Amino acid sequence: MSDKNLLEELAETLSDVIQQEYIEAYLSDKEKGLAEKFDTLIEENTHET
Amino acid sequence: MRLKTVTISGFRGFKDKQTINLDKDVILIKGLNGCGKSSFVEALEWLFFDEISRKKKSLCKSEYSGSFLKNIHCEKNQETFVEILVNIGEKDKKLKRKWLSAKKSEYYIDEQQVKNFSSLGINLAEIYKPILAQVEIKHYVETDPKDRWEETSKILGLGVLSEFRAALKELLTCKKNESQYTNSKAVLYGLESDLKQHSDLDQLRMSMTHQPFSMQQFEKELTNNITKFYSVKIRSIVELSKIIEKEFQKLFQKDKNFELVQKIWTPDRETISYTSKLTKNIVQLIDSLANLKIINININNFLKMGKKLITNSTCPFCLEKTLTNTKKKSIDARIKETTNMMKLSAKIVDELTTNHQFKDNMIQKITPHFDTVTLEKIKERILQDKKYETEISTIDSIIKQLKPLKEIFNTFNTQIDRVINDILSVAEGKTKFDKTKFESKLSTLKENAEKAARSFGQIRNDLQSLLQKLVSKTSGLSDKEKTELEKTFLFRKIIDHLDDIKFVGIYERNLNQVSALITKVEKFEKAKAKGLLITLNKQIKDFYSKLNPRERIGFSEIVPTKGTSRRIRIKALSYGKTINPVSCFSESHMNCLCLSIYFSQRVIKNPYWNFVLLDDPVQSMDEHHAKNLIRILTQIAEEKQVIVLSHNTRFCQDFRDLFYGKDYLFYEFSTYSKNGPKIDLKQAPFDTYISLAKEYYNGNTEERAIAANNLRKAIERFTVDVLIHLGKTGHGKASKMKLDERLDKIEKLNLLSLQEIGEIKVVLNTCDSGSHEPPRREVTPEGVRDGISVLEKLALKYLQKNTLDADSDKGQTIH
Repeated sequence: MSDKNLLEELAETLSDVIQQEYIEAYLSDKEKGLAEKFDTLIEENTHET
Repeated sequence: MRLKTVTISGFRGFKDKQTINLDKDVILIKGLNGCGKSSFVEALEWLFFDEISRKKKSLCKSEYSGSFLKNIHCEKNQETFVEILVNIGEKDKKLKRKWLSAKKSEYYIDEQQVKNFSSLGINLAEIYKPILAQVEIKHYVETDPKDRWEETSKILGLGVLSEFRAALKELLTCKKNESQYTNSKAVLYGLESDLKQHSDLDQLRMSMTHQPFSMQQFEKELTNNITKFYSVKIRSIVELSKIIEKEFQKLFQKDKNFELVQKIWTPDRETISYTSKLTKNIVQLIDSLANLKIINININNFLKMGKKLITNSTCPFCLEKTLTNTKKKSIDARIKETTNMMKLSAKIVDELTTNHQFKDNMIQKITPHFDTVTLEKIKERILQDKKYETEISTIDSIIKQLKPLKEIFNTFNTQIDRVINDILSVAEGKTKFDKTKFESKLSTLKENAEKAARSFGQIRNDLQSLLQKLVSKTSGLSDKEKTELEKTFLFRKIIDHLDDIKFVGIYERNLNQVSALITKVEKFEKAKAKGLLITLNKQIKDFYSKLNPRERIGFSEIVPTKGTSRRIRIKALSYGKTINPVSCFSESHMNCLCLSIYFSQRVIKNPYWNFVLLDDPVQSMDEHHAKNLIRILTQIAEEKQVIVLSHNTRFCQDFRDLFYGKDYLFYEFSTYSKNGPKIDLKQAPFDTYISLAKEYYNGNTEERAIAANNLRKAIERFTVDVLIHLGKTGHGKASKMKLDERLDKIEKLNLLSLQEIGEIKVVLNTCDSGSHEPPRREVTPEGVRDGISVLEKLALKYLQKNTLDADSDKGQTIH
C-alpha cells in the first residue's frame, strides 16, 4: 500500500541491477529489507570462489 | 473519490466505535487540543496510505513500534478498524481496513476481503495525497533554511524518496560500525602501512584496496609478487604459505641466533593460525547460541542453527574435523524424517557436546608451544647475550599474561557447559525457557570470549614484536637479506589475513554501491522536485498572493540551487526589490508557502481524489491570512469536498461566517474521555437534521430522544431561515435570538400563518418545548414522524433552498 510509484520509476532509470534490488528490498520490507539485502550480497560474494 | 461516512473503532484516540457523517461539500471539525482530531485524520491516513505522518516525521521511529495504532483502552475482543463509505465513479463503496497486529491488517471492499485497495484504481502516490497533516505544516514552518529543500520536496509529495534515502544512510552508518568490518578494517590498515614501506609492492597494495574489489585480481598480484621474489613456481595460495616458511628458515639458518628465533617462530606461526580460527569459531558459536534465544518461538530455527553448527566442517570448540560425511548425512536424514522436533533438537545439542570433548583440547592446543617453561627457557637464552636485554620485559609480559588467559578459558568452558545444559533442558521439555536469564548468560559468555580473544591478540603482538626485534639484531645477515626477511614477514602476514582482505573488499564494494545509490536517489529527487517546481511556480505564486494580498513581502519563486547541492532558494520581493527570505520570512510566511505548494500540487493537479483534508492549517497564521485561506477553500469547495480541522475558535467562527449559505456540516469534538472523543454535530442544513430525525425516530428510547433533538434543531434552523429570507432579518441577529423570540417575530411580521405557527408549537411540544433541555418525557415514534411531516411541508412551501446556514449554541451527540 506504500507509495512505490516514484521508487519504481527510480529503479527504471537505474542501470545497475544491484541498486534496483535494493529498491525492491526496501519496498518489500521497510524495516528490514535493506539490511537483509546487504547481508545477502556479502554472503553470496564471500562464498564465491 | 468523495467521503460519505467514516467509522472508527479502537484506533488511536477512538476506543468506542463512532460513525461520522461527512456527506456534504464542506465539513468543519472544531476541537480543543487532545480531543481526537488528529486521530480522525490518522485513521484516514492509515486506511489509504499505510503510515501516519506523525510517525514518518518523527525523529524517533522506535516510539511508534508495536501496537501504537490500537487504542490502549480497547476491550480484549474489540476490533480495531477504520471503515469509510465513499463515492467512486457514481457508485458507493464501503472500504475497510482491520488492524490485526503491528505488521498485519486486512482490507475489505463491500465486506469482501481483498489484498489491498488497488482494484479500485485509486492513486495512492503521495504526490496526490489529499491529506495535509498538522505535522507536515509544522515541520515546514519550523525547518531550518538549509533543510527547506527536504521539506519542500516532502510537501510536493516526494517524501518517499527522502525516506528511502534516509533508510539507506542509516544502513550505511550501521554497517560501517559493524564489529566484524571494523576489526578486519583495522587489520587492513596495518597491512597497508607495512606495504607502503616497500615501493615495489605498490601494485599489490593498490589491488588490495582497489574498488570495485576483486579477490581474484588480488590473489593473482600476490602470487606474482611472491613467485618473482623467491624465483619459484607455484599453483596455489596454500603453496605460497609453505614457500614462505621454507624461505624464512633458509635465511635464518645462517644466523647464530637461529635456535632462539626458531623457538619463537614455530609456536608463533601456530598460534597465529590457531587464534584466528579459534576467535572466529567462538564468535560463530556465540552467534549461533544467540539465535537459539528464539527456541521457544520457532523450533525450526533452532534446528537450522544446530544443523549449521554440525555441518560446519570443524567442531567449533576443538577445531577438529570430527563429523564424518556419513554421520552428517544420517543427521540430515533424521532431521527430515522425525516429527518429534524437541527430541531431535536435544539430539543435536548432544552431538555437539558429548562427542567433541572440547574442554581439554582448548587449553592444550593453545599453550603447548609457549607455556611458562618454554618461555623461561627462551628468557634464559636471551639473558646470555647482552644485545637482547631489552627484550626481557616482553618475555615477562607474555609469561604474565598466560595465567589469566588460562583462567578465562576455564571460566568460559564452565559457562558454555551451563548454557548448553540450559538448552538441553529446554529442548527436552524439562524446564521452561527463561529468555532474560539465557540472554544474560550469553552476554557473559560473549564478554569472556572477547576477553580471551583480546588476550590472545596481545600475546600474538608481543611475540611478533619480540621476533622482529630479534631478527633486526641478527648479526649474520646482510642488508639485502634483512630486507628479504622483512618482506617474508609481510607476505606471511598478508597470507594470514586473506580472509580479512576478502571480507573488507566485498564489504566496501557493497558500501560503495549503497553510497552510489544515495547519490542517484538525490539526483533523481532533485530533478523531480525541480521539474515540479518549474511547472507549479505560477500556481504557487498565485496561491501565495491570495493568502497575502496586501503583504509587503511578496513571494516570487522557489527553485532548487544549481549543481549537486541539495538546497532550495526562495525568491521574494519587497516593493520591487529582491529581499532575502531567510532573514525576512516569518513563520506565517512559511505556513502560507506550505499551503500554496500543497494546493498547487496535491489539490489542483490532483485528478484522483475529490476531497481535501487539512488538519490545523492556520498554525502560524494571523486572522487575515486565515480569512484568505477560507476564501481559497470556498473556491476549492466548488469542485472538491473540503474537510478542515482546527482548534482555533476565531478561525472556526470566520469559517462559518464565510461559508454562510453553503451546504456544510460543523462538528465539535467537545470533550475527551477514555472511550474516545464526544462528537457533537453543531450545525447542519435543515435536511440533515430531518434525515437524522428520520433515522432515529423508530428506535429505542435513547434513539428516539436523539430524533426529537434533531427535530427541534430542524425547527431552530427553519425559523432562522424564515426570518433571514422572508423577514429580511440579518443573519447574526436571527441566529442570536431565542426560539420563542423568533416565533414571536415571525408572528408579528406575518411570515407564517397563525395555524402554521400553532403547528410548529405542537411539534416543539412533542420534542419538549423546554427548548434546549433534553426531552423530559418519553418521545413517541408517531409524534416525531408527524413533526417531520409538518416541517417538511412548511419547508417546501416557504424555503425553496432549505440548506441555509443558521446558528445554534447547543448541538447534540450523533451517536
